[in-house]
Amino acid sequence: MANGKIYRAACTIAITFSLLLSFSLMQAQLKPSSNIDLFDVATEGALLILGLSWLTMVLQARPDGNVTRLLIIGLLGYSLGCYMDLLDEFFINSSLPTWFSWLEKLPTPIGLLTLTLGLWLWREEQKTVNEQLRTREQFFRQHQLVDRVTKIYDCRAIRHQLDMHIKRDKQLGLVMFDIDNFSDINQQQGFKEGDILLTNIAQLLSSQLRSQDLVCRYAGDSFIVLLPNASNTFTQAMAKELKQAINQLNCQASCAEVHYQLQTEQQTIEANKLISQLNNKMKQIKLARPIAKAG
Amino acid sequence: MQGIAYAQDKCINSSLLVASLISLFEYRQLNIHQLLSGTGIFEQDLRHLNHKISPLQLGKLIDNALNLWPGNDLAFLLGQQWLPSQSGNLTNGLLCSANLTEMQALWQQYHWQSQPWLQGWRWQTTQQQHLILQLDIATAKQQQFFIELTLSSFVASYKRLANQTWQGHFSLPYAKPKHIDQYHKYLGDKLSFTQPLCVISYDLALNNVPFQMADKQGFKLAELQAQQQLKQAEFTIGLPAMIRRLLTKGQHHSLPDIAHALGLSPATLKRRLKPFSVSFQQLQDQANLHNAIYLLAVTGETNLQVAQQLKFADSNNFRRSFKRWTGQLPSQFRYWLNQT
Repeated sequence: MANGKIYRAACTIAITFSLLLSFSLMQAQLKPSSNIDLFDVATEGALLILGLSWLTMVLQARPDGNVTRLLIIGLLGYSLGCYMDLLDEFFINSSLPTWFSWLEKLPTPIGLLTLTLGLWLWREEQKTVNEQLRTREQFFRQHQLVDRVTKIYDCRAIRHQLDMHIKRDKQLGLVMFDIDNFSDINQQQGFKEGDILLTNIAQLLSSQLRSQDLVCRYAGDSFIVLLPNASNTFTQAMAKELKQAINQLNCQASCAEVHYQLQTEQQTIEANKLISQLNNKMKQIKLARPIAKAG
Repeated sequence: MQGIAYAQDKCINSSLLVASLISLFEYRQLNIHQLLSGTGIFEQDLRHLNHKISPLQLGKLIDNALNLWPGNDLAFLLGQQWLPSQSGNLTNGLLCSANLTEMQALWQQYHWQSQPWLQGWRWQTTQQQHLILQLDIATAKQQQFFIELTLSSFVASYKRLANQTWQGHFSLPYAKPKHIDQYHKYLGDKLSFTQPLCVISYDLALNNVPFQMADKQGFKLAELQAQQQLKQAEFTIGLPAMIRRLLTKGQHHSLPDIAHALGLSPATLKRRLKPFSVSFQQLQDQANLHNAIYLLAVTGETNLQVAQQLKFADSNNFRRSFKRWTGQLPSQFRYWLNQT
């Protein structure tokens, strides 16, 4: 889909640029090659290439919409201005027609203004998206940390967030969910079903959380939920509720909670330590749980 | 004489690890052509029964797989599915074992037909059983992958067969990796990194925990079949493991000795080792370290006794060498296996 858009844009740009070139060739006189300033050609050519590469990136990355259109129009205008600047290096100034100087001077400022407006609206749009993604990223965006299967963050992101909250908050809760006998699902129904289940759980958890909470995939079939400023009672209740919600996806989950409360001012704890406490607790729970025998 | 596999010998059954790897890539809709590129393996080959690949091909395949796989859980995912997805006499036997002791004895004897990248040893101290794992036909670069694969399949198999969570300790011969969470998830929290050997340690009591699918007849049959298969097999051990075995047993020490025992010239032996990215000297050091730790930590001998048994001029000489192998002193290993 994105490729189709890029292809269309490339065609339009190629046609426009070649038309402009042929009109100029008809109406104006070429400079003798010794008079062409190669340094100017190189710098203006580079600006044009940069402009076109920004355009490609925007076309590739952005979904269609008003903001995207403004950004594209802005970049098109800017690129046109750059192109005219480049062309003018090859022609004798006095022979150029009036439309040429208009096209050389106007598109760049108009393009940049449109681009600025687009960026302004993009800022508004991003704020809305940030709200939508709150329980998945909590205003911390680093796409390398996103798990490929479930599309939520992996554990590195929660370590980062946890360290931040430990410094800032007086108390917080951490809950780990671990799907019981998940390897049986992978084995009996295939990895595809297993992956679908993991994705569903990720979706479910991120939609059930409060807006200040964060969910991440810890490893394999384990998830961790971070509950900033949550009391012990609240953490327990939330864990219970989420566990029941997961049960509705036709799978059993074990859950372990850890609650952290700041005791004295200087005494803080490391994220790693909390996570290993959580791991330990999960291990105890798994050990205590009688493993149901399935044939 | 055992059939020794060199790097280009087709000795690895592709219906095992290779097939699991490819089906995992198919599930995740990753590019199979990229996975197989440069390996000389073709998708249609895999449909043939008994299709085999060489250590070199396996090495390239694992390299490709690690490069293409998004995330760092590939070995763990494969390990989870190891026992259920593998078929063969050994697997049948493992599934029918009465307990861990029986399972290990069987594995020790016949593992090479399904996991030729491993060489295993068993040590016992007063309270614990220790399984030492070393690489056979795999290159040192892929050590971490094969260890992750082996340990996670071990833990998953134990859970499946004994119907209880694994409780034991792992010593790992590399530094703590970045994806430590995967280790905690799949292997538990009893881990020590940067150790000289890869060791699985556990309480002797675990050896006798009854397995759910124990089947005496089935086990016997599988053992017989595995025996048959071993007799007919063209290859039964890889070159690195063979050399390590000869060195560890202690009758042969020098390169010419070993080369002679294998019917090769020293230069050929060196050349044949090169594709495994290990030198004779390294294997010799590994064998000596292995023996030294055994004597120190299992039989509890003094430095002088160890030095004598390993044919060092004196105990100072031994201490220096030991320091070079491990960066630590021999005395620090006296209680190494009893620390947990």
